[in-house]
Amino acid sequence: MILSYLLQLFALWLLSMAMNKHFRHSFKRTLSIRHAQMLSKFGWLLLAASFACLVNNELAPLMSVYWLSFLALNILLVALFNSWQSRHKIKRLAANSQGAVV
Amino acid sequence: MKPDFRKTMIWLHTYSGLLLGWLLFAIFVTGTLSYFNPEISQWMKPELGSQRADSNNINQSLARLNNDAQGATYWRINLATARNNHLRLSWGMPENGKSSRHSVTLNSKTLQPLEIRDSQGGNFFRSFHYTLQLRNYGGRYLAGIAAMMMLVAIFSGIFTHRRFFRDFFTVRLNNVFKTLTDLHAVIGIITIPFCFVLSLSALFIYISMYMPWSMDHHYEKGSRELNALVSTSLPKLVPAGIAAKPLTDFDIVLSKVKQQWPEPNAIKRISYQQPFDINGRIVVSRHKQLSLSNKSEVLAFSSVDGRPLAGVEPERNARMLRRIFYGLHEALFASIGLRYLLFFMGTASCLLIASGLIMWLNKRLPKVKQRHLGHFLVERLNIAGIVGLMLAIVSYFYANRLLDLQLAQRAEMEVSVFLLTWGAVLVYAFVRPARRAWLELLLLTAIAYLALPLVDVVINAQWLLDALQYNNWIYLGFDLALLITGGLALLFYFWLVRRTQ
Repeated sequence: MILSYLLQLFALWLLSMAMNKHFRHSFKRTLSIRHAQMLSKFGWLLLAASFACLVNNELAPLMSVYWLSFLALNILLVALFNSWQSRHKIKRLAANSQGAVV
Repeated sequence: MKPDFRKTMIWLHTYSGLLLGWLLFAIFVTGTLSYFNPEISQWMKPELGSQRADSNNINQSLARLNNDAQGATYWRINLATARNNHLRLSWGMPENGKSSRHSVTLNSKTLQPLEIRDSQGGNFFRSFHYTLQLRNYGGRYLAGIAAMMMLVAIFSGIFTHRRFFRDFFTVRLNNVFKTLTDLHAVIGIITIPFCFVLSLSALFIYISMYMPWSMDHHYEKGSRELNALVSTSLPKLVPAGIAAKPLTDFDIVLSKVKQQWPEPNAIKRISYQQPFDINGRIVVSRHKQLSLSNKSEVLAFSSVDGRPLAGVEPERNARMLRRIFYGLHEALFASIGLRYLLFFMGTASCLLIASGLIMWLNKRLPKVKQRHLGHFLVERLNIAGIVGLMLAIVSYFYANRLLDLQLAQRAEMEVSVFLLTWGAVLVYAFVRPARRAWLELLLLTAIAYLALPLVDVVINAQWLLDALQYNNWIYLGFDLALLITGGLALLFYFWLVRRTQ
C-alpha cells in the first residue's frame, strides 16, 4: 500500500512536470516537446502501476477506494508543492534583482 | 455556441451552489463528523469507561442472559468494539402476545451494569445530515434536493473551472482572493469522485422515496413488496413449541465462526432467536470490514447444539449494486487509515462549499456601488451557516457535559441546545456589523473548542486519567481534535484581524 501511495505521488509529480510552466519553475529551463511526452507517458504508466499493485488482490473493490482517496490527497500535495516552489522562486528572483540594483 | 454554453454552466454552477450552499455545508459537515460516529458517542458517554473488553465476555454475557432473561423470545449481545466500548445485552420477554424489549449496558471489562447518560451521541450528526431534524416534515426530501444540486454543481463546476484542468496543479499564492479561487478549483477537482459517489448514493438510498411511482405502478404494496422480492434473508424461524435449553458455551460456535471469518474481532453481534425452543437459532453477524456492501454477513447455528444451519442466499446484482452504493456512503468498511482519508475528503468538500459561498460575495462586493438585499442575505447567512454551525456543534458537546444527568428527555435537550445556539447566531449575524460578527463569533468558537477539554477535566478528571492509564485513544483523540479545531479557529481569527487592520 505504501509502495502504491509513493508510486502515485511520483507519477503525479511527473505529470505536473510534463507541463512547461512547472518544469521551468523546478529546473530553470524550458521543456522540449520530446521530454514533455516522455514525462507524460512515464507518469501515466506509473499511475497505472500504482493502481495495479494496490488492487492486485482479493480486496480489489476496497483497495480501489483507497487508491482514489490517495489520488485526492496526492493531487493536493503536488499542487501545493509546485505552487510553493514557484512562489519561492519568484521571491528569490525578486531578492536577486534588488541585490543587483543595489 | 460554445461560449454561451460555458456561460450557462457558470451561471448554473454559481446559483446551484449558492441557493443550497448553506444547507449543503451543514449536510457535509455533519456527514463528515458521522465517519467518527462511534468515537463521538464514546466520548459523549464517558460512563462506558476506558478499560477494554475481555475476549471471553461472550460466555459471561450468555450466562447473565440465561439468568436474567429466562423464557425470552430473543437474546442479543452487541459486542464492544475497538471504536466504541459499548457492550449491550438486550432481550424480549413475551407479554400479552407481544415481545417487550429490555436492555442493559455493561462495563466490557468487569461486566457490571452501567448507568449511561441519555444522549444521542454521534448518532445525532448522522441522522441530522439526512433528516435535518425534519424527519416527518420533508427533511429527507430537502436533503435529496441538496444532493441533486450538488451533482449539478459538480458537473457545471467542471466547465466553470476548466482553466484548472489546462493549468493543472497550480495554486496562485500571491493574492488571497486568487488563492481562494484556485483552492476552490483544486479541491473541487480532487473531491469530484468523493462528492459524486456521496451525492449519487444519497439519492440511491432513498430512491424509493424520491421516485416511488414505478414501484407503486407495478406492485400493490410499492417499494415494500419490491424489497421483499429482491432481498434475501435467513429462512423464517417457526418455533416447534418444544422446550430446550439454549447453548451457553459459545466456544463451540466460535471455533466454527473462526474457520469462516479468520480475521480478528470479526463478530459484531450475536442474536439468539427463540432460545428456549428446540428450533431456536443463533445468528452471528460479521463486522463490515472487508466488503463495500452495507449488508452484514451472517452465519446461523442451532441454539441447542451449535450445528450450522442454512444461511442467506446471495442477492441479485441490482440489489447488490444499491447495497454497495449504500456501503460506500456509510463507509463502515473503512479501517482507521481510510476513515481519516475519507474524513480529509469530507473536510475538503466542506471547504469547497464554504469557499464558494465566500467567493460569490467577495467577487461582487468590490464591483457594486450599492449593496442589494441579496448581498446582505448572503453575507449574513455565510456567518450563520459557517461559523454558526461550528459554534452549534461545540454547544452540543457542552450540553452533553453540563446538562443535569437526571433531566427528563435529556437527549432531546442536547439537540435543542444545538438548534437554539445556531438560531441565536443567525439572529446575531443579522444585527451586528458583518466584520465584527465574523471576528466575535470566530473568537467565541475558538475559545469554546479550546476550553471544552478543560471543562471536561473540571467536571470529572478521572475520565481523562483513565483514558491516559488505559491508552484510550478515542477519548484522547477527541480532546485533541477539539484543541486542533479551536487552534485553527483562533489562527483564522488572528489572520482576519490582521487583514482588517
